[in-house]
Amino acid sequence: MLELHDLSKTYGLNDSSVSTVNAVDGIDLTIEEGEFVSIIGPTGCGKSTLFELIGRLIEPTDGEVRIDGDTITEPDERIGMVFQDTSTFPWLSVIENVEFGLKMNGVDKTERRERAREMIELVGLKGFEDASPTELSGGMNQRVAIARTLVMNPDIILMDEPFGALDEQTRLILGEELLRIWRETGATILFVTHSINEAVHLSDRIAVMSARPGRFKEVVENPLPRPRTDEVLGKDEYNEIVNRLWDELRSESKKGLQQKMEEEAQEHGAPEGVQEHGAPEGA
Amino acid sequence: MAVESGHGIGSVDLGDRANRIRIYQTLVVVGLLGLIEFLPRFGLVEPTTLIPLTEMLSEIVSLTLSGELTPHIIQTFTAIFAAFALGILTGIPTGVLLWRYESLKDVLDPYLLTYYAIPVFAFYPLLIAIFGLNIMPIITIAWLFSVVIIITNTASGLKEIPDIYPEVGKNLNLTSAQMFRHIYLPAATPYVFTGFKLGFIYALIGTVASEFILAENGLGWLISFSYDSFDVQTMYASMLFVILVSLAVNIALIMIERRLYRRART
Repeated sequence: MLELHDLSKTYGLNDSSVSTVNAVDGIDLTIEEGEFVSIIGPTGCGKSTLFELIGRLIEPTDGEVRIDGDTITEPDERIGMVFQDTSTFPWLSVIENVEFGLKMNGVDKTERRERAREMIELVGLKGFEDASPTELSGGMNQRVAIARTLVMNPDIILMDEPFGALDEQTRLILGEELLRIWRETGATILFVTHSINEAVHLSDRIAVMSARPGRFKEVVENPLPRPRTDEVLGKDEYNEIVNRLWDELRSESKKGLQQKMEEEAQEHGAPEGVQEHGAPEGA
Repeated sequence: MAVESGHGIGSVDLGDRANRIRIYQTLVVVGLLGLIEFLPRFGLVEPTTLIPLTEMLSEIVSLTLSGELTPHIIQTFTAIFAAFALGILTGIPTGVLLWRYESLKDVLDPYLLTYYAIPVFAFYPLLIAIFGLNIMPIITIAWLFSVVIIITNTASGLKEIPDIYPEVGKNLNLTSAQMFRHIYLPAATPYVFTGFKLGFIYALIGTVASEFILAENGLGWLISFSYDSFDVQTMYASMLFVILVSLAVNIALIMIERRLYRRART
């Protein structure tokens, strides 16, 4: 069970010259074991900040993350992360990428090769073990990244718009593959996306985030039965929930766009390079 | 790179263009070599000024076979490799420090950027006063020449690493040693290697040029000595020898470099 309790992040607190930015504010959410939960929200609402907070890549200003009741204070092996950008290491082959975490943990070569091979097969990349990621498409690279995360056998998989940079068809196919992998591994998945359709297609519940400061505006149960066949996705229920989510999101998206435009205007007006998030390393 | 990015539209034309350019480039080299061969042969240039290319080559062969070149080759390459090794040993840690401590980099940046404006050779009297007339002043000059490019390439190579790679390491809760050895180092390798390549070439230039002015043997000395004693054959042979060796090393380094960059491109 993954619990987010009053999770908040404010940037620029230690920096006197730049105004503070409240990226994420008071996030509460409990995710049951084996659940698939999506987080959707407008541009710049702090989705990625939330993702980094849960993975403990950054320290929260306030609040905590608990796994099965215990508070985590550093990156935890029970959490595996899949990033939006290409994160495969170009200096390693596919199989070396997949076994990377095991190698770092001192798992011996025969065992880690075997486990890596299994995962490569699971994500449908059999035959590409010795290829270089540089030779593979964006979609295939994300498969490698997913296998690299799965091989560590995490209880919880965090995904930050993992298919965001891919074309629509690849996205749909990988979404279905992800559901298959989810069923086969029984992992808990927390999936950040900006696509309502993707969220509805994949998840049990969908948390809608507000514009900055990012809060959960509502957490919506997805009534659609599984498997989500074309028939299910063609039903009125599907359109209903999509419309409902869009209703929730519309005003927030407008607000988000407004914020972005104001920031850009400010940036162009300000002679000194004021950074978007008032990053702490500023002058 | 330019050709790469042009792929897609009209890549065939670009390929043709690239081929044409390659043909012209070859013609330039062949033409120059032909001039060197035939100008003296046809008596258009005094044989005391320039000797034909083939004569230079046969002179290299006979100098090598007679063993005359050997001590000079040893002397010169000892200096080059010593300077280059020193450059790596001092340059890499300095580059890492500059990357780790941003304020140190901010302080040193203007000096590093203008460094190559300093005529390092002008320090040779000082170095002779310190080390005496031996190989040390040469190694020092060659090292001073090569180390800075290694420093700056190491620092910027580490700085250019996309944030995403260390984030993957963070998620795995790697120690800082693991992070450096398995993520930062391999990710920066192509850039660092470019620093090595240039560093080696600079060490070579530094060594041969220093030998002109402050040595009693070595290939640079041999060139200047045979010039002084009107030994045109030996002079051109040793000049050509230096050029051929540095070309060969350069080609080898460029090939390794290309392979590294190809592996690093996502």
